[in-house]
Amino acid sequence: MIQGIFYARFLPQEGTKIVAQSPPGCIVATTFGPHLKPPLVDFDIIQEYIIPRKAFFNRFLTVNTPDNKYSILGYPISIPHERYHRNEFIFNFGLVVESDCDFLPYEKLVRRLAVTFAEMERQNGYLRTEGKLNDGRRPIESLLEIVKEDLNNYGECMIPVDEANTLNMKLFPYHPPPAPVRGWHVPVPKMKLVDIVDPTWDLTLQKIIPHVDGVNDVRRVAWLADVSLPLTQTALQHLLYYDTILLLDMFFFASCYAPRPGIHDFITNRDGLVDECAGYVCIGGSLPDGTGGAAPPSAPKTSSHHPAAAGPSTPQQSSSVSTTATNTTPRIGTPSTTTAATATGRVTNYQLIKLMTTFCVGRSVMEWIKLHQDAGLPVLSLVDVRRLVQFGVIKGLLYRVHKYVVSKQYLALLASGQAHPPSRSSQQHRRRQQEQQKAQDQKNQKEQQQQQKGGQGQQHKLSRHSSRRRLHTWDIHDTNNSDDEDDEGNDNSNEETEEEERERARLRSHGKGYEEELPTDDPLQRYTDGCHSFDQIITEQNMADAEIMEKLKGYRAPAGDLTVFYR
Amino acid sequence: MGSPLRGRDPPSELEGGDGILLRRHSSVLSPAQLNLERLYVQNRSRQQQNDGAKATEPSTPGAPAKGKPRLLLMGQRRSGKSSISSVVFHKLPPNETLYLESTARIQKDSMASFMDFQVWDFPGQIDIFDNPTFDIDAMFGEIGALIWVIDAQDDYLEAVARLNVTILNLQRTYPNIKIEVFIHKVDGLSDDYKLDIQRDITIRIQDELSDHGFENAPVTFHLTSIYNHSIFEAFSKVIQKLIPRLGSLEAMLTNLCRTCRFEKAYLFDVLSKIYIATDNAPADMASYEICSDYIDVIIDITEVYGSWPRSKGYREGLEGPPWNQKLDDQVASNWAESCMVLTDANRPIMLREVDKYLALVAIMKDDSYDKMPLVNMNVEVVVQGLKEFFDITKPK
Amino acid sequence: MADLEASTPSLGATGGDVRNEVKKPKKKKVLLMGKSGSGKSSMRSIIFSNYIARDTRRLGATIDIDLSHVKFLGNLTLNLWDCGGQEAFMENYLSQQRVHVFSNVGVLIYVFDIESRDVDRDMATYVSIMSALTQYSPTAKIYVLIHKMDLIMTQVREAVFMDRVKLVRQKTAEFLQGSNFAGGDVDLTPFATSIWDQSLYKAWASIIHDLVPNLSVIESQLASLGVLIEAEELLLFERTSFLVVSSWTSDEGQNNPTTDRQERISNILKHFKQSISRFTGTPRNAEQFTLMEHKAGGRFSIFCLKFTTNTYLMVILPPGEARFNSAKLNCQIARESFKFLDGPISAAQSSAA
Repeated sequence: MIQGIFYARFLPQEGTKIVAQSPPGCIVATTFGPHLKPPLVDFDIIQEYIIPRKAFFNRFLTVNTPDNKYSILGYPISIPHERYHRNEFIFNFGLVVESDCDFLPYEKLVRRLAVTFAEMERQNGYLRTEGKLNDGRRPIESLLEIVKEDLNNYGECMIPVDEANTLNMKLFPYHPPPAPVRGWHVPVPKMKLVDIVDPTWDLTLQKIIPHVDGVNDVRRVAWLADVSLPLTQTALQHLLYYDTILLLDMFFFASCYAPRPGIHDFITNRDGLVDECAGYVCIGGSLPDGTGGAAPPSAPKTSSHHPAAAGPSTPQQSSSVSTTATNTTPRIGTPSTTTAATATGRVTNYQLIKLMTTFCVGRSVMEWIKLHQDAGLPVLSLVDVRRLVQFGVIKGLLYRVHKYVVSKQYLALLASGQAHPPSRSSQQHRRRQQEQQKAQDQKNQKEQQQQQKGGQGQQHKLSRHSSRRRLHTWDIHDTNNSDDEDDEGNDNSNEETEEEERERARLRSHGKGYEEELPTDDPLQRYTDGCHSFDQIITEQNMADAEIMEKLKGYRAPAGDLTVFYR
Repeated sequence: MGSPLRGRDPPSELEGGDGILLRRHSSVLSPAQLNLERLYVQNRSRQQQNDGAKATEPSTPGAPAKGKPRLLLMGQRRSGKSSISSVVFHKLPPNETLYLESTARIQKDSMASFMDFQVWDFPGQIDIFDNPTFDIDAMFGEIGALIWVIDAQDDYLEAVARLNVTILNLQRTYPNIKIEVFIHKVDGLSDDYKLDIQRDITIRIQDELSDHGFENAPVTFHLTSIYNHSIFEAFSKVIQKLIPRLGSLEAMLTNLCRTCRFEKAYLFDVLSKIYIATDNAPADMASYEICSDYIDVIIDITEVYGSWPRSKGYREGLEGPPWNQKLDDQVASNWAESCMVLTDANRPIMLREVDKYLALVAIMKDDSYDKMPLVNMNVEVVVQGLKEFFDITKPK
Repeated sequence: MADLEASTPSLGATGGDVRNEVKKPKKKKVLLMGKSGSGKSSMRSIIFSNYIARDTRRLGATIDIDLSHVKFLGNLTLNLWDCGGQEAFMENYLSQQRVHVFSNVGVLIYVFDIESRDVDRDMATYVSIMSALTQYSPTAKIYVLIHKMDLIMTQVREAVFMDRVKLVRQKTAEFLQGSNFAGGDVDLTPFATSIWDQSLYKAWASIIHDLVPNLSVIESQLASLGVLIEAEELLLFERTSFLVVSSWTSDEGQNNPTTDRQERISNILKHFKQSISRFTGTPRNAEQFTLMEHKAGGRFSIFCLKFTTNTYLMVILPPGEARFNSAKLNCQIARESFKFLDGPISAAQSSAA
């Protein structure tokens, strides 16, 4: 809240003087009429900071009142020029705010006021002639009053000062710079982004928002939206800056979670946390999805906007990057099982707490399910495990235990300078390759799944889908005619080639030449410095956990060199 | 005999020529000076009346003494002619020229300096060629140079047109008159703008002249202002053209500079601060200013300590033991010698009086103070040479 | 030449006695007060920062108090408080900062603007300043400068000045009577000043002169040096301000009709320092020359040399080459005996060694 706003000048005869203030009497008592409150500050004490020594001119200045109740934010300006008596025009537009509030938004206002009026003074002597010319302009006192009222009530103001200048100001809340968005993060929306997006939004944002559903990881969002990964990351960072999404880790049945101190709140069911959880995770629970209110806001969206998130496609999520996942991943929450669970009603709070507290280091989700199923609790039919874990992570009850690998040999090489962490360019190159590879794999995998599962209709859809794709591809190829012949040549509907071509074309259209795969040494080596989690390896190398372990075992290294650890 | 650089000789205080002593540094104001100014103003107005009387009598055109070169100051009204002559020849502080009244009559100043010359200040509103009362021949017959002042901060087209008329009129009869154009009041103008104006004026005048068949008329242009030394510099150049055999003079100075390794040497007319010769190294304003200011310092100090007679008894006392010599024999040189060592690079500036009106001022090389005796000897020789030079070239 | 060796030790001895007394740096608080725009900062810049009068037009108003420590002759530090004269500040000095400003004051320099339209108000402010000063620093010396005298016509200058001084004295007396000031009469020295002529140097030289400790020692030493080298006059200048700190004049030199010569020489040399600064491109506060000499034939000789770290010595001599040279040598030798003028600097050097 702006408690007071004032305009002070240094007059060659009188010294520092408050020329205008709002509300009246907030800095110095006015002679007009009685006023109820005494001034907020003792002007005699504070005046030497309102127009300070020369060294403090033209910079932002804050000073607290002696009782530490209010702060005065100002930006004293000196305009040196011969036309002024004593060669200088010195003034300050200042704000009085409570000393415990965040000054950052107000600093911008004070700077803006100072800069605007200094420029207006320089150009046509606005302040110099203030109160002397009768040109129908608004007196500065009422100007300040409007500024204060508008900012306090609406957080912004737009006040025409004269025919050429308008005072546009807004109180911007301060957000810290967002954390970097990684390819293996899963963005979870906190609000219905799809509903608030409109065509004036950034095009990239518009493209990716439908895919931000709390399930897809960043890389997948990029791929689905047909947007390059760095652009996706930047776009998501914007959403993150405005606190509209959360970043979580990827969900695997093979990964471990462990409780955090926050688990106590859950056990004591503070603020109905457990009930909230029940509403969010129970399959066919009595509480409808939408009322999850404070619960992770991703919930409604997952079900309503992304068909893939519901039922059958859920396994796909867990297997997002794994080629082997299709058959091995247990299925959870299929519609058939839900109906069974509905009969039993919702899971009891006791059960939920028990479920939540039984996560621990060294126990993978799979093992955890088994533990409970062996104990007679059909976890999979009662709760959506992914949601349960997500709820735990978002509410700070659980944390993900990441898996890392360290090679002593590699560390020694790094330390001795014989090996170097991959440079940026080669990393990028590699990433590009991986992206391509991954895209290809995912495509295959998708089709396989669809072919396996789908009936005639789906098949039909697929063909339509692929023909559309091809058209799209051709469009691009039109611009690169040289490749056309080739394409036609081996056009026996090989999706792989097409996909590759498309990828290539996209790369070309991005202005980056496609490079042949460089002979690299073991791609896993660079991850073995203990700073890269398995999530990263999985997304970047496009391998399943098991595959990586397999590969690491075949790593030519002395026995005991490699250590896998969880933290 | 009185000299501004040595002060008054006690026995000679009754002699004439004290007038020139009474010039002061512009920034030092004292009651005494205020009196002086009043005297000056009075003299001036009296002179104005006299001159006016003369000017109205065409039959007796102020018959100029033979051999006195004359400088004519002409130009539009308010272009700054009187200010220039007041600042240069009467040492009026530049900011006080604001209060000068405009000149109504021809104003004649006689400069009793190393070469006696006259400065005629013409009122801007008089057109000499239209007015039959002026004896053109008497006026321009012995003229040394015509200085035409143009106000650069004003619209100068009319001034240029009038100048053209004047030049054309004069060129026919007196082709030897040197015409010096002062593009005046250039203080406060940017360097680019100054040069633009100069170029513009030059082209306008030369085009006009060549249209009338005068290809190489002796017209020179100077950018001037009374608020810095540029006006003195310009006058210096004008005066130098009037000196017969300037080349020999310059050669002497160049030779001295080479022998003594001076950076720059100027031969100054002490009263007007005009330099009548310099060595052939490029002249820059900075060295001119410091030399000219040094002359002021010496004049001012001399005025404080050299302008009062010491008592006889005191002087006799000084001739007693341990010196036991006539005071006149105790001094090494009868002419003023001065030197100042600057802290910056230990550079000395030296000054040596040449005669009553002239002084040699030079900026010496770094760290050369130790060689001062040698330098003094060399300077002595050159000063003798200069004196001979002036003896020979003196108009008879 | 023979006599100088004999005499130098005696000079040194007198110097040696004093040296012990003056080692401690002395800090005196000098308040520079007066109504806003009366020219306080201008005169300060001219005296201590080598501004020329014209430059002061560019100065801005002083905000609050501008503190500066001016090293003077090494062992005298002027603690100069240039107090902005705006009404708000004046009230502040008299209320909030009363003790802070007015305690421990050595000298108050109060500047009146002769052109001021509201003389009554000026006097009222002056009296309230006096009341604060007599309360906290009853022993302070008071100088009243009637400034901007150049704006008054020459003929009436003297009369106007005397008139104003009379008024100030009268107000001071009235105040003292009213307040039953215990310290008796207040010592008040008036000067008529203008930045456009040497009157300013005269006033400040006299103020500085009063502030210099062990003045009698300097004067007696100068006198013995002067007699020794047969000088007509000796002037001792402070290095930065080029004000005359001390001087000695021979009996014959007293006859010099130019009575304001000290201020005029200060003024002349300060101006020339400016010219040198422009020529060499060195900062104007820097030391500009080390030696100046002028032999005006059979009339007189003069030289001015860098004397001690903080001083220049100017010597005016009767003519004579031999006299001139031996005087120069003698002055160089005498430097040793005046080293004490640089007091704490040499003390610091010896302690560092």
